[in-house]
Order: sequence, then C-alpha cells, then structure tokens
Amino acid sequence: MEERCHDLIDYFNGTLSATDRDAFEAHLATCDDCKQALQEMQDLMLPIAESLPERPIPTGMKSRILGEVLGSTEQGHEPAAAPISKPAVQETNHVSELEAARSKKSKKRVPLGWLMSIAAALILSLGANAYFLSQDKSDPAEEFAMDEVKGMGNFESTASIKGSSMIFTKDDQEFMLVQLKDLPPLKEGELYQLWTIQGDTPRANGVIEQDGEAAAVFPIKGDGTIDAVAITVEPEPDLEKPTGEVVASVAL
Amino acid sequence: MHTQSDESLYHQMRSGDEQALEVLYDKYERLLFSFAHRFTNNDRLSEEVIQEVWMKIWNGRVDFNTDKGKFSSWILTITRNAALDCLRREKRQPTIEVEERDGGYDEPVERTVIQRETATEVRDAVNELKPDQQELIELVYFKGLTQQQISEQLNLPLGTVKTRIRSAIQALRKLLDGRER
Repeated sequence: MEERCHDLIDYFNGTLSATDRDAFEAHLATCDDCKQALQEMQDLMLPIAESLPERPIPTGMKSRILGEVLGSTEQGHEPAAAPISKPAVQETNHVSELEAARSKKSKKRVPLGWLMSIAAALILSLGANAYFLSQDKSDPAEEFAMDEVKGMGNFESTASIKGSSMIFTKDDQEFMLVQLKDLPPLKEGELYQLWTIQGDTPRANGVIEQDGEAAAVFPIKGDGTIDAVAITVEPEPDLEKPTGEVVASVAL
Repeated sequence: MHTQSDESLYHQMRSGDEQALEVLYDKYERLLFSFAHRFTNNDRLSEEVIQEVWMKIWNGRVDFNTDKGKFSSWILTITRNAALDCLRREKRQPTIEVEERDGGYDEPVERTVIQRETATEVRDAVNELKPDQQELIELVYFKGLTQQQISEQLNLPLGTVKTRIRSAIQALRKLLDGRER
C-alpha cells in the first residue's frame, strides 16, 4: 500500500488540507485499489440512508427551506434565460408549496420604514441585554428578514407615549422589538421598565433609561406566548413585580 | 404522467426552474431528513443541514455531473458533508443543551409507524455486523472521524484501519444486498 492510500478515509470525510486533497485526487487517478474502495464507500451511502428509520418531518419545513433557498437566488444563482414553455416536470396534485413559500417570504419581510436600523440593532443585541439605536435613517428600501413575526401592535398610553412593539423569532430565539416616542422625562434614578405579560403574570424584560425617543430589541425571557407588553416607571431595574403605574401597554 | 429522471430535473433546476427544484425537494425530503437526523440527532440542526444542501445546489456552489455517479448518491454525499460540517461547528461552539422542542410534524403517525417497521427490518443488517465492524461504520460514516482518530480510539495501527473499514463496508454491503432480495 502506498503512503497516499492512508488518506482515503480522510478524503472521504473531507478532513484533508487542500494540498493533501489535491495530492490524493492525483493519487486516485493511478491507484485502482483506492478508487474502488472509495466507490464502495460512496455506493453504500444510499442503502445506508434508505435503511434508517424514517423521522417525522417538522411542520412547515418545506416552505421554510424553499423560502430561504429561493430568497437566496440573487446572491449567487444566475438562472439562464427563463424557460419558454412551461417545464414538463411532474405535476403535483396539491397546491404548490412554492406559493406558500413565496407568500411566507414576503410576509416575514418587514419594511424598514418604521423600524429604521433594526437589523443592525438586532445583530448587536444578540448576547447583550439590549441595544439602543440611533435614529439614523437607513435606506428605506432595505428589508430585514426575520424568521417569524409572532405578534405586533401599537402602544396605548395614559402619558401620550407613542410607539409599537413586535415579537419575532430569529434563529430559534424570541425577541421583542420596541420603538417609542414622546417618553416623558424621567426623574433622577427612574427608568422605564418593560414587562412581558403572559396571562396575568408580568415579567421584567428590558429597561429603557432615557426619555424622548428610544428603539430597542430585547431577547424574550422565559418561554410561552406573550399576550401583552406594558411599560411602567420604576426606581430600580428588573423588579419582581411592577410598583409604578402602567404608562403604556400593547396587546399582541 | 411521466416521471423525469433526477438528472434531467437537476439540469432544469440549475437553469432556474423553481418547479424542478420543488419536485426534487419533495422526492428527497424524507430521505435527506432521516439521513441528516442520523448525524445530528436533532430536528433543528437536521433542517439547517438540508437547507444548506439545497442552498448549495440551487446556487451552484456544488455541481453534479454524471461522472459523479447517481444523483441520489451525490446528494447524500453533499448532505453527509454538510451534516459533518454542522457537527464539527457545533462541537467548536460552547452551546447550551436545549431540549428539542416538539414543534409538530407534517406527517400522519400511521405512515411513520409503517416506515419504521420496514426500516427496523433493514437496520438489523448493521446490527448483524460484528460489534467492531458496527463501531467502524459508526465512526467513519456518521462521526466522520479522521483515520488517526479512529486508530487511536480503537487502538489499531494506522495501516490496519483502512483494511478493517473496507471489510466492514463489504460485509455491510453483502448484508444489505441480501435484504433486498
């Protein structure tokens, strides 16, 4: 056996360096034994796969994947001229999930008009408790894809606070986005506390320590469906229960 | 209604035909998901792996031609590579163990049960291998270990590993072929 023959498994498993991979491919052209062994390993792939117990497919996987794949087209795929006639592919007798994928794709894209640079904020806020935005206008045509919007609505306020909140998921983590205007001035030591409410139970989930305008993304604590978001003025962050009155709230 | 070959669907898809992509996706969804799951043991990661596979194929980052054998073997190879990459990535990242959420499934339970029974019958082929051969198949195919790692883990001389793997593969091939008859 030649020295290079020892690289077969590592070649098959893709663990060789680029140089060694090239060298092994050159070796393959001359070593029938390795060529045959590699073929045997590859040929076994299908029977092995077919012999596995079938796993139930997660709900909606197809439309998620096709949505992402088709949405990625402009980044690399260069389709040739569109087929002139309708392609003679096998007819599917169910409503095409491509349609579902497409509509899903357009639904989950949120125009940045009212959210401004949320994408930047989201990226920065991952791992941090919150990240606040400057109000720089970004290209309004820009869109930011979230995985799923779980709920959104406008705040109602007893203190003329305006704003909106949205709960969404991104990479399996839930986030709450809030954008607020006309937050009344705070006294020394006070802060705006955000609460996520499930049923009747509030949970402290984010603090805003400024008045005027604010936009922030907070990872949602705990799990379960958030029914509403409320804001109170508190002397300390993240108390067990609200002590101040609700100055704004939104049912989602 | 006629059925097109995978190869011709692939070429249609590569010229931007979304319907051809969907037909191929449908055809391979179950096979690829079960296959990816065998590596990741996790629904979310398996879905990521499959998404990566179709991203690569749709965007032409990998290219199939008939020199590479059958389309089915090729797409499984791409899936296996993506799954092994995913495992390596996960290993590098300190992650919090998250219990897999039951997000619901697309298919009726009945079908799964029937499929499982058939699968169990075939899976016995691997179980019929000698324990050391079973272990080799596991380490090579599903863990993607290097020859050096296998040699260390099984305490075998480096030169012996390849020969042992080959005989394990041939034994499994024989058992699987026997089942098909």
